[in-house]
Amino acid sequence: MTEGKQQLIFKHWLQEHKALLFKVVRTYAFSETDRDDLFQEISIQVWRSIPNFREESAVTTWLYRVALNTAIRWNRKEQKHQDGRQAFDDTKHVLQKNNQPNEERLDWLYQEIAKLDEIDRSLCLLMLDGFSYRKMSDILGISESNIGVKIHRIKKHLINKSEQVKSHGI
Amino acid sequence: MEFDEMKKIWDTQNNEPLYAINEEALHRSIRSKKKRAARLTNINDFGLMAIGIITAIIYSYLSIINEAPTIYDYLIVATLVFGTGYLWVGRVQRKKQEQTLARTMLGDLDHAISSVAYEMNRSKNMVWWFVLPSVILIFLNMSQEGVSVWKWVGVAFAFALSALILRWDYNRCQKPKKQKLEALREKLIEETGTKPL
Repeated sequence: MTEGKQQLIFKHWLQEHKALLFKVVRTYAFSETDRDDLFQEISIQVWRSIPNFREESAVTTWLYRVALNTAIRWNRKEQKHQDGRQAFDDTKHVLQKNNQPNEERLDWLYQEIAKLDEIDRSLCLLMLDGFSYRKMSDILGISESNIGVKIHRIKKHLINKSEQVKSHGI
Repeated sequence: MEFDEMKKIWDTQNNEPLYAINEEALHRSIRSKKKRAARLTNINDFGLMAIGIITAIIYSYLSIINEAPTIYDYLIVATLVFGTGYLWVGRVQRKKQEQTLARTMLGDLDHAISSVAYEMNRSKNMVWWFVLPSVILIFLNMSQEGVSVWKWVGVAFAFALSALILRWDYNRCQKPKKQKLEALREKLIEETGTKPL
């Protein structure tokens, strides 16, 4: 594959699926600098993965797999090297926040997802984006039945949490 | 709140993405990160190989050309060349592995675990098959030449330091990295019901 073609595919994927990447970034990184760093890391891995994409799966499935895997690894690295992160002060930030009205309920949802462990966070993202158990299994490499039980547990947990928020009048 | 309602909240962000991407900055960053990573790996690989080859050449020059070489001299040079060859083969294998990308997250983790295991084996093998034979051969050679006690101490210290650095890399860097990846793998495949949320 030529670099030009790779660049074209990359730009197209970024344009079409940026919301998916932002969801992963927001789930695993909690400051603007970290989000910028993680987004760059995911972008690099997406770029590298393009020659390996064989169209056996949907682009979204592929992107989720690359993005989640990168985010989990990044998360582990960040926990270990909080101070060792490369600074990007010499360049402009890649992500520029759009002016949006505050969506409290979405913020709450992200906060609750952030409290889950890294694997359950991945499952939760895929679940909320409507992926089937089969596709989740394709992305994560674990059995559908195992996914089913985990998803049931996460759903129950989130619903319980939302009830608690309601009962506190928030 | 029911799950369907959560999904509706979640879907609101599909139409209005939270961020805009500065594409120029992104491409610049990707290029620079790619170059930095490749440069670091190359410095590490070629640096170690250069040390092996240069040491072999200097040793050959000093021992074989200038003096009457012993069998140990030949063996020391052979060990250095063998060690460098081992590093080269490792580099080629790693490059090949980088070309393949596993299809699932579990596959990726397995891939990462095997890469770390490879690095750990390399550290271990370097002690047993490179540092130790070199020490034995150099000591045997020195015993025939009747060198000063300070030379013995200096050489012993240099080799002890090499072994310690390799051991440190094995125990403090590679081993915990592998354990963390394995723990992540366990978490991914764990049967549910064992750990409440």
